[in-house]
Amino acid sequence: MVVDSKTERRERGLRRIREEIDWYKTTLKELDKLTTDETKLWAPLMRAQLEQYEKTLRCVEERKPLLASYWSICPEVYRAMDIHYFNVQGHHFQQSQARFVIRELEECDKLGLARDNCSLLRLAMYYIASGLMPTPTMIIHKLEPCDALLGLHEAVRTHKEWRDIPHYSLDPPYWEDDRTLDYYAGEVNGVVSFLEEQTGKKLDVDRLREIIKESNKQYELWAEYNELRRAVPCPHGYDLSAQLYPMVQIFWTGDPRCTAWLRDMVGDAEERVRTKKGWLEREKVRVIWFDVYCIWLRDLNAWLEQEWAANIVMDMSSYCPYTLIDTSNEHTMFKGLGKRTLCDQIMVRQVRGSADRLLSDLQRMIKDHKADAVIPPTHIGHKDQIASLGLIREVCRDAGVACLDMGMVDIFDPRYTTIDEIKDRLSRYLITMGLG
Amino acid sequence: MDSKTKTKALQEFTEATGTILNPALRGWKEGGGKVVGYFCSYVPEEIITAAGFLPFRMRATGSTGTELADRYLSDCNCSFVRNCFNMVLSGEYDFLDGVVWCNSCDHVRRVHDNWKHKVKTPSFLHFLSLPKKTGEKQVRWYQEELALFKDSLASHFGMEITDECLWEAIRRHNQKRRLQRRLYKLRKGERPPVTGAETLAVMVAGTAMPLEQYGQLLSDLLSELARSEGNANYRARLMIVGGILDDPSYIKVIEDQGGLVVTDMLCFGSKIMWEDVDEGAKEPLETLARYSIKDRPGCPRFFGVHERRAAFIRDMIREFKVDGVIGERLMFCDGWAYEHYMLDKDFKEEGVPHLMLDREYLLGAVGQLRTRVQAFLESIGR
Repeated sequence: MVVDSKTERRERGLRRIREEIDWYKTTLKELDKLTTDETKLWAPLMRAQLEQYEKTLRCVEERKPLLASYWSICPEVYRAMDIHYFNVQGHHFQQSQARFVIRELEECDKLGLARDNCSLLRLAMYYIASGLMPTPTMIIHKLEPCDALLGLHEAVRTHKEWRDIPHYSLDPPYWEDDRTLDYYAGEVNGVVSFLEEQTGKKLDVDRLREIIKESNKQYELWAEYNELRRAVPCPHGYDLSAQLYPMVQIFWTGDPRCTAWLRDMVGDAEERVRTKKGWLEREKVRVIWFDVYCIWLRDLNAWLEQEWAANIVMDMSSYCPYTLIDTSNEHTMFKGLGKRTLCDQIMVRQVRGSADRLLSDLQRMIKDHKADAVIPPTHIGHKDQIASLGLIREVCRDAGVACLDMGMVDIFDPRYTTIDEIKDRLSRYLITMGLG
Repeated sequence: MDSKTKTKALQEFTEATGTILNPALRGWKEGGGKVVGYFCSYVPEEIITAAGFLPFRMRATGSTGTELADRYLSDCNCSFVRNCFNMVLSGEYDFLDGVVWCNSCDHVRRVHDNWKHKVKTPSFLHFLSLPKKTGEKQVRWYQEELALFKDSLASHFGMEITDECLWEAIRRHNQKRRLQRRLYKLRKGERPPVTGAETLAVMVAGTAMPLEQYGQLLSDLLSELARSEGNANYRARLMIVGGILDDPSYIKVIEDQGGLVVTDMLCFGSKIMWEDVDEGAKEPLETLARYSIKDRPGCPRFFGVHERRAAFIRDMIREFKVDGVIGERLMFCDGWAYEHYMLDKDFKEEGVPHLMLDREYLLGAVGQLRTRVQAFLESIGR
């Protein structure tokens, strides 16, 4: 893990991005040869991801401002100010990187960070420490949704290679009332002041309004799409539906291309619902994955579909009943952005404050999406969620739905509980519950 | 390793620390006094005292298992909350008249949810939203939170909590802190008259006894210790850094290997008394908020203050002539995982010998602990 010089470190940070770009280019080429409805829906997603990497590469190569940020902050503001960002948590969690994961987890173990900490965050720290992540020119943190993320931010902020990089952090309170939203709108305003100071650019409020209007359309379409997923049989598989979140909140926030893609998603789903054409030929089990997308879920999902005719009809990342933002003036926009990033976005919504929101979301998911089974994967990193397991089980019991407690699992470290063990547990559960 | 002074005061402190419903607390209840439990030191005891109640810091001392709590929490939750919630479910905290939380960590935060849903008593439960940044804006926010807490407490119990009551409570708690600091000061010398385990017993008792009684006992102890010749029979002077360690027997295991714990940065130690609450401020709630957010040594649940914590530890090392630092962490604590990761780098850069220990809340694996401490003492040439 020795990084000799700034140049070497810079090159190391870019190597993986170049590999990622190559992977996406090759995949897109293959995808373009196919012309099924499904591949048409996948292609824009691949393009968005490729574009993301190309922009990051360009920023580093041309020494342009590059923001390191996290999930659930304010992508609308970044876009309105034309500031490119990459996601520190997600950078090492991409397609082409999958083959490196085990080796890197082993290297990561040598860092000295406790192994009962979330591997996704440990890996981010490893990537920074080893120079595998590009060095940004500025950082924006958010101090929720978990203790580990705050710890990571502090470790990143004080790391010898990153400690001089200017940073700003948002402080999300526990509550969701009006006083909280006013406080948090101030935190979002702080993002703008910070970015203006770092880049010399001035936020154009009208441009922000346009971006928010476009993202409002995206959230409306996302909500519409989620409603279509209530249909039995469910029109799409989970792999595809899980992409709405990164498209809307990471890659193409407020970008009309994303809106067009969402329209296609809704259109395709609508057509399938109308013609009763489910994703699975004979859908037998409707599953709620009560957590976020994880590193081995693509594999597990394929197995669930093939072996059990089971479709993950909803998950925590996708189920965010977003509130649209009032664009009538600057105050309403910032308050709306605050609310969106505090009360609506992935994880921060469900696990930041009281467990009531987590439980009511689960109740609604089960009811609205006609679930047969709930799987909270009991990720070792999600301490707050696993401390709600008893309450989660009770919600499921009251709804008459079986809940599988998988025991201790690390959703980013396949060494912890192997995928075969997980499949075994799931098989026994589905058989026992009469869902096989 | 024990100090040579075996006083009645020390025995009473040890007794208060070794159980939940200690004799002093029982006496308070029998006299009609109310007790309000709180889960983290960022909940200001002063507000509870100003209401005329006894603040009690939640612990799981004497817990024998987690069978009841395991229905609600997971094996990956820290053993402090699992044992503590188990005691709540088994009725051992039925003496409480109220409980107060803040969002100190993910585990404790969820105890509030489980309590709210599954435990019917007491009827007064309150939650404080503690900011994670430490600026002036956050002081103002927390001041408002404290005002809501004060009003809610007063309204629930049908009373008024005046500014005068709050100032008086601040003065009394500062007096307690001053006495505690005098105890720590005695440990700076070559022959400390009190061990680390005994000091922790004194500190924990300070969160579980009526203030007057505690103050009198501590004054008595300080007088007796001043006359003691102290203890020079140790191999090394150690500092302990970590979170919610409330069990003196854990430190005793370390000290029995010859490492005298002369100071600490613990949630039941220096972190709660190294600074006073400013009595010269305009508003009592403002000064209490400022104390929590800015003035006292902050823990890793705050962002942006690692350097301040590291400087605090460095000062302690110098002042108390520390030979080595032991970091302790409850398994599954994410905040302290990153803090120890950062401290480890700091200590390496500065050449400070450092041993990192993960532990469970209830003392166990004593043989392993002994071995690691022995090896550590040998590694620093002691």
